[in-house]
Amino acid sequence: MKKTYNGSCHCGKVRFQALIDLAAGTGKCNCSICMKSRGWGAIVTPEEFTLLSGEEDLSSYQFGSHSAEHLFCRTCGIKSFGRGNVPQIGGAYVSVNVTCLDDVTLEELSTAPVRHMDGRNNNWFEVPAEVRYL
Amino acid sequence: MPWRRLASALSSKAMKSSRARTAAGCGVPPPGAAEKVGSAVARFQRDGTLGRAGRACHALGRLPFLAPHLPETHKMKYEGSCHCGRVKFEAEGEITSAMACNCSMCQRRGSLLWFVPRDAMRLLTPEENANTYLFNKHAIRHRFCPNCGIQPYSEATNPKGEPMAAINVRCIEGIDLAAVPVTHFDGRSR
Repeated sequence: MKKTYNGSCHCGKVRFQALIDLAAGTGKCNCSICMKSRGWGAIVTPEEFTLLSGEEDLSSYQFGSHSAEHLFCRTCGIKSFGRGNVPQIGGAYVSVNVTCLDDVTLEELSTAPVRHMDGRNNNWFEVPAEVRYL
Repeated sequence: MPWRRLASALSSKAMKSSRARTAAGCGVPPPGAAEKVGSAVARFQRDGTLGRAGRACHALGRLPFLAPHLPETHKMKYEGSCHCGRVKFEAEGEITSAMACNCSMCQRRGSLLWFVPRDAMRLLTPEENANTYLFNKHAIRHRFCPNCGIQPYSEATNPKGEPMAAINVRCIEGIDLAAVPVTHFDGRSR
């Protein structure tokens, strides 16, 4: 069931609300940047995401195909969400870092299904052979 | 020495990989090693001086025994970086385990931390290439790349006053992360 969550970076400059159904699944990936930041995201549409504060505090990092904006807070460095446009998953999206949700319960986090993606091998819709460290 | 018992007790999984097997080199854990490790962990958790609520990560100062004071002959050199390469480092030691913490910062970062004496880590890029984030008691300098946002390391001093680095092993190149035993630390409750 979709529920509105409040989220933030660590220092609190970046704050947002997002309508997420955690039980519908989250994603972890082994690509070069998700490896270094333990990316753990829930995908929502831009309409389901509201940035409450911090647009000017966000720094954007792009690489590779430049199809995604990897956003992080200039002050604390935390990546609380990212955004992009990938037609295969329905176009414009916001990927919310579920570990930045302030009012999520431990049970919601620990029972949220996780789909693993083999981004490292550009095979995003398959599960990588090794997922223990993700 | 606690570090040796910890390394032995936790290395059974690590020893499955050839790299870890080479690195461990300690043979099988001695009888009672696991119990002694548990005792050491419990002592540090019980006697730590930083327990309090709020946004804090005390792991860097609370687990100094993870620092690998290994003989020179057992040390390996690792290289790592942020994503874009603006922050690069090398570190000497043995990655016998890494720590995952659930405090307000570590939960968001998802870091797997390897503690080394600060002088065992050498920056290959200028110090000022990494931004610093401080919070709470400002005891830990969280160093992240201002270009890509990745946090390869933090700096602090342990309870003995020795400069330490907590390296995010996710940022180290060429290691078998799945073979690194992970210890979990309940930083959120402290």
